[in-house]
Amino acid sequence: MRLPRYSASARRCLLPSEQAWHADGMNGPRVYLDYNATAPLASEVSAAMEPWFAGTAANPASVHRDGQRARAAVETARQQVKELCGGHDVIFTSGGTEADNLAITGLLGLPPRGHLVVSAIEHPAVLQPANALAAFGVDTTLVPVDAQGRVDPDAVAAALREDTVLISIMAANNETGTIQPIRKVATIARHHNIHMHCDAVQAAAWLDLHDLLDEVDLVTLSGHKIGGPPGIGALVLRRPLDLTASLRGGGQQNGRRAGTEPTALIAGFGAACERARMRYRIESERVGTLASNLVAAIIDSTLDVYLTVPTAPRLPNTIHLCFADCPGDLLVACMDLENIAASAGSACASGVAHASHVLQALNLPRRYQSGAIRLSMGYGTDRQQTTDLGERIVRCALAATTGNLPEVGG
Amino acid sequence: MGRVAVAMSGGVDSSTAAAILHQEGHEVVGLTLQLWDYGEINNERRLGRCCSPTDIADARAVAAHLDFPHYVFDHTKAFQAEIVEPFLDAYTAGDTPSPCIRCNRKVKFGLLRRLAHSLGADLLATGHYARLSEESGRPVLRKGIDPDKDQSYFLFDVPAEQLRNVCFPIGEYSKHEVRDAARRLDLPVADKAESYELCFIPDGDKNAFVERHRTEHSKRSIAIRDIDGHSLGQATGLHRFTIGQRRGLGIASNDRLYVLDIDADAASVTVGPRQELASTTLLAERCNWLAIDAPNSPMQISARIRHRHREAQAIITPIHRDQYQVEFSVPQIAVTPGQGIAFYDGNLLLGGGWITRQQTKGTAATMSC
Repeated sequence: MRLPRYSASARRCLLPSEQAWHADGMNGPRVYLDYNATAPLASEVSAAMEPWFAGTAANPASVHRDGQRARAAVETARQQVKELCGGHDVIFTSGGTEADNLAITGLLGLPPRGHLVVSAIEHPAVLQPANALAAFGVDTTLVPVDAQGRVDPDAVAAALREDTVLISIMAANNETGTIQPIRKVATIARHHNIHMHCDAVQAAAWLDLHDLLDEVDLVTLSGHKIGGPPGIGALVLRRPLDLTASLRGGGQQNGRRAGTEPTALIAGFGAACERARMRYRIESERVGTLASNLVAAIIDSTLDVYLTVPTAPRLPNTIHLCFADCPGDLLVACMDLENIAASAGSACASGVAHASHVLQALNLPRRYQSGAIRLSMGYGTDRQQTTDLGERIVRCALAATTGNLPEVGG
Repeated sequence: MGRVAVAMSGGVDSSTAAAILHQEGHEVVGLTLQLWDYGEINNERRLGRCCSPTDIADARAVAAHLDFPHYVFDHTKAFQAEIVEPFLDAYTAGDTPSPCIRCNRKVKFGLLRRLAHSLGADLLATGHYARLSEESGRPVLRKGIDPDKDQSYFLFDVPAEQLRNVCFPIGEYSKHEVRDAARRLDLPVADKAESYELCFIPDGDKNAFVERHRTEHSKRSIAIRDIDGHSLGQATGLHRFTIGQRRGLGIASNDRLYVLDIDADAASVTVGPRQELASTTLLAERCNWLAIDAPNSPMQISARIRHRHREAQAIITPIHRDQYQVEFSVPQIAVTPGQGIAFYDGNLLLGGGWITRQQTKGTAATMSC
């Protein structure tokens, strides 16, 4: 584009060589470290979905042969989901958020009544519906966590009341990766005859869910965190339960979640569950090693950095770090321009980073609060990508922390 | 070509600035600061104001349209402390603040410039209508080409050092040309309306804003007096008055009365006829010099005592450190404490300072002569 009266020299004049702030860019290859936000679609998943996208008209509720084939695909997927986490029944939803909402509102009934116990670091998909139920007189007790983001099962037991209907604790936190003592909490729930819901969205690709969720009643899963498509998830009932419907309509899914079942998404989700079940062990070990090496490279740097979950069990793919006196939002932008995709805390709708409720619950030393960053790896992360990754991240943290020009004037 | 960070407010000016640099092949990175929490204002009023959620979305849409990275940084706390609190304090002290001038110094060419540097940018570009060049190793600011849009006045207080590695891509164009370019580039904001209000008071109701944030102060009872000290009535809240104001005085009079003076200590406002608004001299302090070193002897300049003020010839005389007496050749109407005064030589912005409370009135000027 050329505009009249434009003179390039007038603008270039402020770029004398000695005044240039930076040498030429040193960007390495693009590395995606935001698997906890969303994981790329796995090839076997897209293969499973493809037949249901390409010119197939098939409502799984239809009586005809086309419908029957779609129904078979949905039932195959249902089986794959059950095999991943164990279960009596699967309610497919639009994703983890809807499944969490369904678990809470479905169990508390209409009109909702009872008492909820949830951890302070649950996903907003649990906290917000609980919060909304306060208008109906439903109390929610938030159980605090320790500095590594761990829930104390005794604190959960102490929070129980006569009218407690549901305990909801996530399997692993999306920001810090802290794995919760689900087995112990579930035993407490069982002992008190209280339902237990577990949001296992982040854990599904990495942990043995059968073991972890043994005594859990309801489980939330999400497709796009495990290499499946976005827009699909499930609430898994691990034993028979009465649930109040969330969506009413054509009576699909036994009337508990109406709406035409999206065959392609469900088939993809099933394939992703199958894949997770087959590969979680080997992937945990492989990615865990890459993550440990990266942590070591960053911790060994000269930067003042705090590893948020140093000793508690955590997801092998998730690294949560807090750089001292470092604006996390700026660090994420610096890293992005350095070709490293990561998040400060968790991604949110507005794209503006705020101190998350998870970080606040950890009570971190003040200096470390703003500089929190989450690096989450996945099946596409390999040794080649991570070779000099630590150095590159440290360089970004340095730019975000001390790259500041001295303040001029008052 | 190097990386250029562009401060994007979501308006047509900064969007076009970004687009021009992008078209020229620079590696453009868009930056938007979220400076104010618009939660207290209802949705209807929130629309289309600088850096509201709508504006952030507009800046993002422009970046997406041209396909360059764009980041939003939340600095509402710093903005509150550095800009909004001093703004409120000024009103409660009877001054009329200039938050945009302060924002340019503290936020745009302070905070934002540091962000740009951290992000590896060689330059920070903004959508100001002003021209910047470097002459003899010194950043030199000139008025924008478009006399109606020139924003150089708002830049007088930015220290020269903070104008290094800065560029103003649209300073050489008229508003018409900028809008035209935005349309040709199909920018989503090409036909977006101008915003004239302060970004943190999108509904333009400054009085209501001060009353919300300085409730006690804004309820103070204020005596309205004539020049001889006779009481003409009572009013509520100093913030409702500014020097030269004629409307909303709340007193009945046969003469047209203007606010001549505001005395916070005495909680009084002096009103009188228009001719009493004229001042020949004023005192400017905390002066900042751009095109020249601080003058140490009297100097002939032209001065603007507010945005859109028609420049007036004056002689500035150093008094003490960064304090200067400004003597106009023709008396000026409504010299207002708290406002900035910018010194020019033709199109060249020499520097500027802040009008203080002393020696601003016609009477005081006579005494000082």
